[in-house]
Order: sequence, then structure tokens, then C-alpha cells
Amino acid sequence: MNSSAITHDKQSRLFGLFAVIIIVLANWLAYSNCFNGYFLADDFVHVDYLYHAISKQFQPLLANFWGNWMQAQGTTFYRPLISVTLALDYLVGGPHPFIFHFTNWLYQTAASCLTFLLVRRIGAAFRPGQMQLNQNLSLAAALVFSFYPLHSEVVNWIIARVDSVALTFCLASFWLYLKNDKPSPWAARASLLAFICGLMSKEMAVTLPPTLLLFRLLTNFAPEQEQLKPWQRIKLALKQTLPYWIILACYFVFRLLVLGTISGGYEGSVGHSLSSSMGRRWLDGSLWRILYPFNIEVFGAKHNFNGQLRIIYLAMVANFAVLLITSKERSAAVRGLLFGLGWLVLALLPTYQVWNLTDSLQGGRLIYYGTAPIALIFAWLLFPGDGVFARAVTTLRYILATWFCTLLLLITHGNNQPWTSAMQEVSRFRQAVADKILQLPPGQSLCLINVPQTYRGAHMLYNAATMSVLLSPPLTEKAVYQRVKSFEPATFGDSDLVNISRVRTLCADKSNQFMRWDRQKMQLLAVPLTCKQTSLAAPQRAVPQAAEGLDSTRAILSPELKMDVLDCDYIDIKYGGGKNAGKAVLILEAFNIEGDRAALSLPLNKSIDGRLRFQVSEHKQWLALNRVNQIVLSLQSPVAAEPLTISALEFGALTTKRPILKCDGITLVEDIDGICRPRGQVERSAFSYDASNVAGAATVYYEVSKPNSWFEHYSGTLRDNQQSDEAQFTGTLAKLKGSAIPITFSGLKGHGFYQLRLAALDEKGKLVGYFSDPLNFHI
Amino acid sequence: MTQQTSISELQKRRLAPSSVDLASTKTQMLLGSLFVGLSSVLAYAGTLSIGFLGQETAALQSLASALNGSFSLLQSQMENLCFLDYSIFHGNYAGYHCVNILLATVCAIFVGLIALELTGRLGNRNGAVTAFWAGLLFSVYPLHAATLAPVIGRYEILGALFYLISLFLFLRYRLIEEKKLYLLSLLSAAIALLCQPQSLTLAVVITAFAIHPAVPPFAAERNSSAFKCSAPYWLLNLLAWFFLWSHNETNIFDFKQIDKNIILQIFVPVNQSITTNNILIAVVPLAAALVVLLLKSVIAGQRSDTGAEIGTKSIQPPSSTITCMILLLWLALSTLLSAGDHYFLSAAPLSILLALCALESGNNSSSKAKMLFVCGLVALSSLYLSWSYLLTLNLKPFIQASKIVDSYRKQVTVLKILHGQLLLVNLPSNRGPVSPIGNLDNLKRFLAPPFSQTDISQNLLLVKEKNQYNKALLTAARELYLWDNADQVMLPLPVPSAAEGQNSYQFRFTDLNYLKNCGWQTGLPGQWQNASRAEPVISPMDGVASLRTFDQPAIFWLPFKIQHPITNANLWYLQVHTGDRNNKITVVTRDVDTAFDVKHQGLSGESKTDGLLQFNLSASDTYMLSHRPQQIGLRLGANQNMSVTLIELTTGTLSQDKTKFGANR
Repeated sequence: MNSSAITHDKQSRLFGLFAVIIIVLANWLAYSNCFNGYFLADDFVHVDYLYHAISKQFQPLLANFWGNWMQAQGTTFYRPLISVTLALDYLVGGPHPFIFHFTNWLYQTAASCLTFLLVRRIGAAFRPGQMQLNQNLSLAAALVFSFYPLHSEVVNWIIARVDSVALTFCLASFWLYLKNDKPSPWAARASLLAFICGLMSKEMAVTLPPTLLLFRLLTNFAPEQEQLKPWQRIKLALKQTLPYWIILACYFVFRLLVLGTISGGYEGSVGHSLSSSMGRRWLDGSLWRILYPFNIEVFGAKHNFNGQLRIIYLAMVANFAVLLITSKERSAAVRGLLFGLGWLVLALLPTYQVWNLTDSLQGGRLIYYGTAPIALIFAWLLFPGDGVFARAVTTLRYILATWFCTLLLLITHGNNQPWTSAMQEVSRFRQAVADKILQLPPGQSLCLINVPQTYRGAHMLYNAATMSVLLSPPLTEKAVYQRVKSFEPATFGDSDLVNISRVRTLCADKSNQFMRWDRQKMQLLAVPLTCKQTSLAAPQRAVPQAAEGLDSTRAILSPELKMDVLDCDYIDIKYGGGKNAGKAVLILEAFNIEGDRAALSLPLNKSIDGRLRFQVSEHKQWLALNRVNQIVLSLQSPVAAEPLTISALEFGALTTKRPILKCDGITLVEDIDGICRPRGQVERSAFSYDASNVAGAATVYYEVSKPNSWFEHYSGTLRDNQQSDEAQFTGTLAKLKGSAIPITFSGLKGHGFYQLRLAALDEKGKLVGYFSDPLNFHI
Repeated sequence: MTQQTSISELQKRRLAPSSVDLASTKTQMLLGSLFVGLSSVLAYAGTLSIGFLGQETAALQSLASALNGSFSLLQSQMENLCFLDYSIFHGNYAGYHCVNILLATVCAIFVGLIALELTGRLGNRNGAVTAFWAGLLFSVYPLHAATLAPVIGRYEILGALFYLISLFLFLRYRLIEEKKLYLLSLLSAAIALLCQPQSLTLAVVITAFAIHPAVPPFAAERNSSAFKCSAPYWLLNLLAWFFLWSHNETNIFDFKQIDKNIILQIFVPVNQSITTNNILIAVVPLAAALVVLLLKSVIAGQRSDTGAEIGTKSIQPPSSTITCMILLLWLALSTLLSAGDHYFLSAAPLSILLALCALESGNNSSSKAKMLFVCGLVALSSLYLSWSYLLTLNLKPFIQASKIVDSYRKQVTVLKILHGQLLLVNLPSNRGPVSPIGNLDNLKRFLAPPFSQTDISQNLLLVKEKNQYNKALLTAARELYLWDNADQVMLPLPVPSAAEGQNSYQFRFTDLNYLKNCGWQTGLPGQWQNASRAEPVISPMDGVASLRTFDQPAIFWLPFKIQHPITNANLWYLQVHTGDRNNKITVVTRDVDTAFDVKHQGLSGESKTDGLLQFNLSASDTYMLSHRPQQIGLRLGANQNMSVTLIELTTGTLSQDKTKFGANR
């Protein structure tokens, strides 16, 4: 090696060291505020898993290597390495969140550094010899990756490390693969090993072989390769990446053997709703949010950063276009950009089933893998080549890159805010509940009407399972969870829906104290529900005066009502007029004397005979009011329409319109989370039902859901008045009252959560009234 | 022959005619220093008219006592050493300002000298031009107003001066290896550490410059290692830390959180209260900074091009990048450890950095570089002019505050002589960031030697101190004087009578007559209401009313007409009896005479669980110190709902006062 080459190499290493320091600092700047965070949502499942796995000599952790991840029900994943990384954190720092957050930050920083190293080699592959340009390219890509605002979820949410760990391994594998261009057998082996680790971290890693193939296809342009025909190029590229394809094939076979499926993912109604909404989720502007990654709940719908980003993107595209016009090295510039775009498409493909990037950037983790190619694309648009007036243009590019990175950093800080607040709230919620339980007299329980579910896109507590971990050792000194009764979904679902029958049952028991979590004040507030099965024997009718001309510029306010929330199950609004108001939405707001508010809305096109029915008592926000003082009606209409005339309001109960369904409490017992579970080895469990209260009932119809499916996921309500198409099996019972429902646990499709519900049929076999509140049971 | 020889010898021995060698760096630096001095004197001449402010009285009075033999008030020996000129100037503030200006000028010259040392390391071909500009920029840095305007800014100036001397001597020592320079540098560092904790950064900066790779090659052999020569500075730091720790002054380690505002203030150095009016002028420095950044990178290209032309063996001037990074480090550290909005020392690295970047092209001989050099000069000139202007703007609040102090003192003196005992309501309010007097103790010092001929500070009482009004003083008052901040006059107030104090100020929301005419849409009890969303609504209920806003915030004005609230303690607290626990409302006031002119916004209270919302109105100067009839209003935000039963003005004290201030809360 001559002295020039040595100097060159030395300079390159020095720059590399400098760049790594800058990248580490950049990541610290962007995410240092996450270190003091807490656990959120699925993190609790993993903390509990680790707590028990470690007490079982790591056996469950080992089982992850040859079975479904965490031996979970309802999901099919192969990610054993993630649990290993979590276990290492747990062993180092115990159940304290700091070490978990710190390692999350480390993975993000490692991925940023590897982006730098990889992009430097990618640049050298497309533009050999242009060291300065490739250095600029790589540092810009790494900084864009470090600051990219869609990373908030992955860095702040502990379990979202799934993506950062997988990406780190894949980038390492890619980088080592390119390093292997120089004879270095260790690099080749290390690359394959990193790829395997990536596959064991997340399914996204399967995109690496096609990415390598694409890379080879676009870089095999040496003088001796220029004459190759397309199929020869493909053959050559396949040959160059063959070991990765072999590993991929082995992975699929192995996956099929241990999981029974290649694709995996979510099952039950969650999986079904994901499948049915796939098109909408891809086309609702979510792809646009990749370029404009603002959490709308933090920055608002319009923010001046939006305009700034637009200017920067235009400048980047103009920069690239000018280079194409003025430079002779168009081919390399275009091929490099094509590779970036291709890599991005490949990175998005595996997310086809679950892709969902909401306004509040929930689901940002799904694009984490894709932000590496995005960073490459942006950097490539910034530094596509030298062109004319190279120095002056480079200076302008530096300014543009600095502006871009600063803007990304500011947006990232904004996007981090919901996560830090959410973690703080969960921590305070835990403390408040634990303190309250310890204050309660022995034998009393706390009924929590609501828990903090999400905050501006940050996940908090999904369900009772996550809350049970929060309120049990090792996160809470004493296991206080046994004294907390909750109304949350079994796994996922609408957090506002509540089983009112269960509320009434619990309310009748004086040992239960109802409370709600006030999110503004971050404290528990008592909800002294007046407990009665229903107090409105007959619907009460109110005829508002001066109720004409309700349009989007007016509101109708009730006089003082003084109504207990449990008095009323529904409010019917009878109206006239409203031509062309099909797309309009009627909003019902209810207030209590304390100023708390519940807001429900229904589109006018759901009305029957000019009557809209608000099922108020199935909503937690209604229950949280305790006593309704006033209601306000208003209308939202996207187009001008004839004003409505509200002719009457009817407040009624559904006592005579819904059957009652319970578990027997002996063989099948309702737990504190509202889920019934069999006790002992029971083949056929007994339910208790009564449809005799339903006027006009002749027989009883029942439906059982598919495993891990919930009827309300499809209909959006617990008060269906039509049969569901999603039932696993259905049947009819001749007796209006009894316990003999012909369901055997062995007859159901395996382990999981199920729902059973009943409705009364009249003599003609037509459904009368509504279905009962569903009974959830877990086998 | 002999005569001829002696004449020619004499001719040979004749000295060359005296002339000024402008090409010599020393001459340039000398002339530059004169200019810098002139610039500094002109820039701060305005401070000569700034009298003593409240915050300075304690230091000067303790000094006066110390010099008169009473050491009981002596706070710190070092502080008194800083004001040795007291024995000359006594109460003449202009004298202290003169010394301060002189010291600031010396600081600016040392900034120039440091810049000269640094450019020397970079193969300087500019002579002293960069150094001159660095000193010039430093001399007019707008945030210096906070340091130069008050006399006690001297601690900071002296600290910075010794800091700069120490750094300069160290750089000099690294060049010529003279031990005595090194020892002097250490001595200066020690003095700087005694003056201000910001000097703790010196060790870091010196270490960074010591390991700077651009050490001249001829000095490399003899240089002791970088760490070895910077170690004594760290030792000094350790001693200083130990000293501070032993005196429980650990709060200096609570580094300032550098946020957007601080960074903005460093680069757009305008007083916050006047930023909005002069934003364009404030942006000029930013634009200039951008220009110099552009120039720097272009010149980097020039250098490498020239290097290529000449060949690899030619001596290329080293890049200033690392020097700039060290300067940035210095800037960041000084800012981190700076106290409040005082950035005197931070201006040094900033000035050198800007001058160095803008004029780097002077290190290159190509014609393009010369053109860029001129561009750099233009950029720096515009920066200098805008900074000079901003400096005068930043000095204004101090000059105004000084005038207020003067006027207030005079009026109080006259009243005091007339009445003997004097009850004052308030002190002058702040002018921008400047507090004219501060507290009663400062006022009393103003009325005693050395600030006054005789001591008339006895029997002087103040109703409002530390944001609290002393009710007991009011009840016993016979004469009461309010300082009108707008007109700057002392107004006599009517003394509250017992009957007036018993007036009840209560409003119940069952008063439909008032509700119907209050400007809100008001319904009837027990009736449904069809309301427009454009205006707020009141729904009267059983003993309570529901106030509701839609898309716009709204204010509910109470029917009371309030005059001279300061004289009536029954008007100091507002209680809103509400059922709400979530609503946050704001109290606003307006002049009754100029209706709809909301004078004050942002008095927000916090409700307790029993639904009682309390506001401490006495926390609002706008309300308490107004001598015009006022009306109080409750401001509800958009889409807010609140149930209220009763609103009353009371005299009660809050058990837990949570009243907060802030505009448009």
C-alpha cells in the first residue's frame, strides 16, 4: 500500500471516529429525556414474563427459540432474541425502567452508527473514489436517521425495540456483507450471523436478501460487467447473495415447523379487522405522514414546520434535478436513488397486514425499518454528486442539511412529549391506585371505571392484564391488583365500552367503591353511583320548547336534569326536517355539576323513522358523570342542509329488552377483570340466563364467537339487535330461563378468549330487543 | 579628503526617517486597540448617565461602612477589592462607570490579542485585521448592557478580564515558552476564579487550546505536553470547587438548561421587551452570521485548490475548523455557567469566532479570496453597526430605570421631610428586565449616606413588599401614597373609612335581571334553550347557573364597580362558588370608563375539591394599583362549561394560595 493510500485510509478512519461521536451526541440530544421514563402497555406483559421466566430458570426464554414468542395466544411471532435482550436488561437492572430505556437508546444509537457505516459503503459502491462526497452522504444519512421524528415510538416504548434490534442486526449484516468485498472471511461469517440474529428479532429481517439482490443488480456495472444481459445480471446477483437466500429458506421452513405458519401475525377479530381495513389504512394519508411526521395532537393540523419541510424537500429535489442536468455522472446518481427507493418499498412490504400510521403517529414503529432507506434517500438527494460550482453548491447543501436536521430534531422533541407524559401518567396512576387500595378497609375493593389508555398516540394501559402487572410485584411492593375490579377489554378494543350489567351487579355490592381516573388532575376521583337495577320503569319523555332550527350554528340546551346515570340506558332523539343532512352527525353532550363532560355522536343516516338512539349507559364517560345535570344537542354537517326540529327526547331503560346472562359462579367464575374462567377440570360449564323479562320472548337465541374474537369489534356496540356473521356457532334454546346452554369447552376451537351472548326470539323466530351483555370466558 | 569622508560617514550613519510601518502586525494591533478603545468608549458613554439602581445599594453601602471602620456589613473581601475606587468617587456613579468602561475596553483589547494569537497559529497573513474585528465586535456586543449598565457589573467584568488575560498569556507561553508568562497566566486564572464561578471553564478551554494540533512546528520540540501544562489550571479548579463546596455554593453546578431562547438570545442579542419592535435589526446579525458561514466553507475550497496548484510540499495555512470548534466549546461552556442573562464572557469566543470565520480568506493569496475577504469585511461591518444599535436599545431600560429611581427618591424625600412618617403603597415597577429599586431596604439605603446627605430612612413604611400587601399598615394609616407608574408621580389616596370597608360585594346567579343584560344568551329556569353557537350561554337552574361557551372564549363581567382596591381589604380576594372541579377560568379586569378595554389578563385560580375557586386579586398590580374605577370579569375558554352559584369579593386569606400570573393563561 502506498503512502497516499495510507493517508487516505487514516483520514477516513479519523472521519469515521469523528462522525460516530457526532452521531452518539445527536441521539443523546434527541432522546436523552426518555431515560427517566416508565413502562407502557405491552411492556408490562414482558416484565411479568421476565419475572416469571427468571424464577423458572429461564425455561420459557429457551422455549421461545423453538416455539411461539412468549407462548402467547392470539399472536404468532418468532422473536426469541428480543426476550433475551429484555432478560439481560432485567438481570442488570431488575424491574427498574431506566436500564430498559437506556438500552433502547443504545439500539437506536447503534442503528444510527451502522447507518453511517453502511451508507458510506453504499456510496463508495455507486461512486467509487469520491471520498469527500460519500463522507458527506453518510454523515447526513446517519444524522437524518438519528433525528427522524418517526422514531419516538421505538425509542420511548421499551417493547418497540423489536424494530430497532432487528434493524441493528440487519444493518450490521448488510455492512459486513459490503465489507466482505475485500477478502475477509470473518466479515462474511459475521454478516450471516447478524442476519440470523435479525431473523430471530423480527420478521422484517426477511427483506435483507431481496435488498442485497437489488443492491447487486444496481451496482454490478464494472467495465467487465457492462455487457451482461439482464438475466445474466440477475443470475450473478443471486450468486453473490446466495447464502442469504439459503438462510431465508431455512428460516421459513423452521418457522413453518415451529409456528405452523409462515406469515404469522395477529389472530382473531383483531387480525380480521386489520385485514378488512387494510386498504383504508394504506390510503388514508398515512404514507404522506412518513414525509411530514408530525404528531397532529402535539403540533396541530397546521404548523409552520410543515411549510419548512416542504421547502426543504423541494430544494432537495431541485438539487438532484440540477445535478442530473449538469453532471456527467447521472447513472450513478440515478441508480443510487433507485436503490434507496427500492429498499424502502421492500422495507414496507412485510408491514402490509398491520400498517397503520395514525395522525398521532401511533404505529410509527412499523416504519422504523424503512427510515434507514428514507435517510439514505434524503442524503442522496442532498449529496447526489459534485456537478458545477461544486464548492458553492456544497456549502448550500450543508446549510440545507443543517436546516433539515435541526427541523427534524425539533419535531422529534415534540413527538417525544406524549411518550414522556404518558410514562409519567402511568407511573402516577400506579401510585394513586396502590395508595388508594392500602387506604381501603379490608374486604373492600376498588372498581375502576376507566384507566389511562393512550395519550396523544402513546400507548399506556390496554387492558386488565397489563394493569395487573402494574399493580403486582415486582412493580408494586404488595400485590394490590386482587382488590381492583376493572372494565377494560380482554386484550384490545374500544376502551369506552362497558358491560353495564356487570357494573350494576358490582354496584349492588357495598364492598365495592367506584372510582375513575381523572386525566387532567392525574388523581382518582370517587364516582358514588346510585345503585339500582334500573329506575326508569317506563321511558320518560321530554318535549323541548324552541327546538326548531338546529343546524351547525346553533345548539339546544336542556334545563337542569338531576338524573342518575344508571337511571337511563338510552336517549332517543326524535326529530323532523334535516333534508340533505344524511352525512350530518348529531352530537349529544352531557354534563354533571362538576363540569365533567361526556360526548357521544351518531350520524343521522342511522336514524329509524326520524329517531336516533344513543346507547348512553354502555359508555364509561357517561358512567363517570355519576349524575347528569344538563345535556346539549348540536349538529355537525359537512354540507348545508335543512335544519332539524327536535320534537322529543326519550330517556329509557332496557330492562325489558335484554336478557340476563351470567356464569354460574361455581364451575365458571367471573374474575376481577370481568373475564369468566373455568375452575378445575370442567368439560361443560354452566351458564345462568334469563330472557323471561323480555316482552314477547318465545325462545332464546345464542351466539358463541370465534376464538379471540369479540362481537363488538365488528359492530362497535355491545347492544346489537341483529345476529352476527362472525359467530363460530349459534343455537336456539327453548326455555326462556335456565342454565343448560349446549357448549362444551372441548368443542371450541382451542385455547383463547370467547364470547357468549343471548337474545330473545319471538314466536316467528324474529329477534326481539337487544342481545344481552356478552359474557367473556377464557379457556 | 578627511572632511569628505567624515561627511559621507555621517550620511551613512543618519537614521532612517521615522515612519509608521502599517504592514507590521504590532503597529496594526496598536492602532486597532486604539480603535477598539474608542468604539468601547462611544458605545458605553450612555452608561455614564445611569445612576445607582436598587440592586447596587447593598454592595456600596457595605463598602462605605467597611471603609469607615465598620466591617459588620462586609460581605466578601473580594467584592470590596473590586471597588477600591470608592475612596475617590464615593456617591458619584459616573466615576464607577468610567472605570467599568475602561475595564471593558481592556477586555476588548485582550479579546483582540487572543484572536491574534489564534490567527498566528493558522499561518496568519491578515496581520491584525481579524484581531481588530474580534475586539471591535466584543466592544459592542449588545448583551453587555446588562453588565455595563449597573455599577456592580464590575465583578463580572473583572472576572472576564483576568480570564482573558490568563488565556492570552497561556497562548503566548505556548508560542514562546517563557515560564514567567505561564506563571502570570496561572495567577490571573486564580484571580478570575475568585471573581466569578464562570471562570471554572478556563481549565477546559486552556486544555483544548493546549492539545490544539496547530501548534507551530518550531515550538513543538520544546513544548511540554499539553496535559502537563494545563494540569495546574485543573488543580486551581479543584481548589475553587472545594472552596465553593465548603461554602455550600453548589448551585453553580446546576448547569443552565440551554434552550431555544438562550441560543436565540446569544445570536439575536436583543432585550426581550423590545424584540418585537426591532426584529428586523435583530435578524441582521443572523444574516451576517450566515454570510460568514458561507464564506468560510467557500474559502475552505479555495485553500485546497491553491494547495493543489502549489503542490503538496508547499506550506498551506491550516484550517481554522478545530480552532472554531474550540471556540464553540468555550462559548457553550461560558453560556452554561453564566448567571441570569449576563453573557459578558460568552461574547469573547463569539466575537473571535465570527471574525475568524469571516476573514479567513485573508490567509489565501488568490484574487477570489481577496474578493471574499472584502465580503467578510462588509458582513462584519453590518454586524458591528447592528450590534451597536442593539446595544443602545438594550441600554435604554437601564437609563429609564435610573430616571425613575431619581424621580421617586426626590418625591419621597420631599414627602418624608413634610410628614416625618410616610406610608407608601408601592415601589416603581420594573422597566423591561430592570428593577429600579427592588425592595424597601434598598429604598432606605437610598435615603441614607452615602447616597443621601442625611439619614431620613426612619419611619418609612411600605404596604406592598415581596408581592404581599400588609393589611395591618392600612388600618392604621392616616396618609397613603401610591406611585403611579404611568405618570411617574406620587398620588395621595383616600384613607379607607370603616363604613366603606363593610360594603358587600356578592353576586348570585339567581339575579335574572342582570343575567339578561350581561351580554350572554340567557334562558329561563326549567326551559329548553335554543342558542347560537357564536355567543356564550347562561342556563339558570335551581340556585345555580351553567355558563357555557362554544367556539369562542367569552368574559362574564361582574356588576361591581370597584375603586381604589388597595384601600379596601375586602376587595382583595375573589371567590367563585362553583360545582366544577375541572374548569380553569381566568380573572380579567377593565376600566369602567373605557369599557371593553381589558387591562389585565392572566389571573388564574385553582379550584378545590369542594368547588370553591379562589383568586388572590392582591397579587395583581394592575388591579391593586389602579386609581380608576374597574370591573372584574371571568374569562372562560372556548368550549367550556361551568356551573356557578355565587361570586363574592372577600378579605379572607387563602389557605393554599395557588394564584398564578401570566399573559393570556
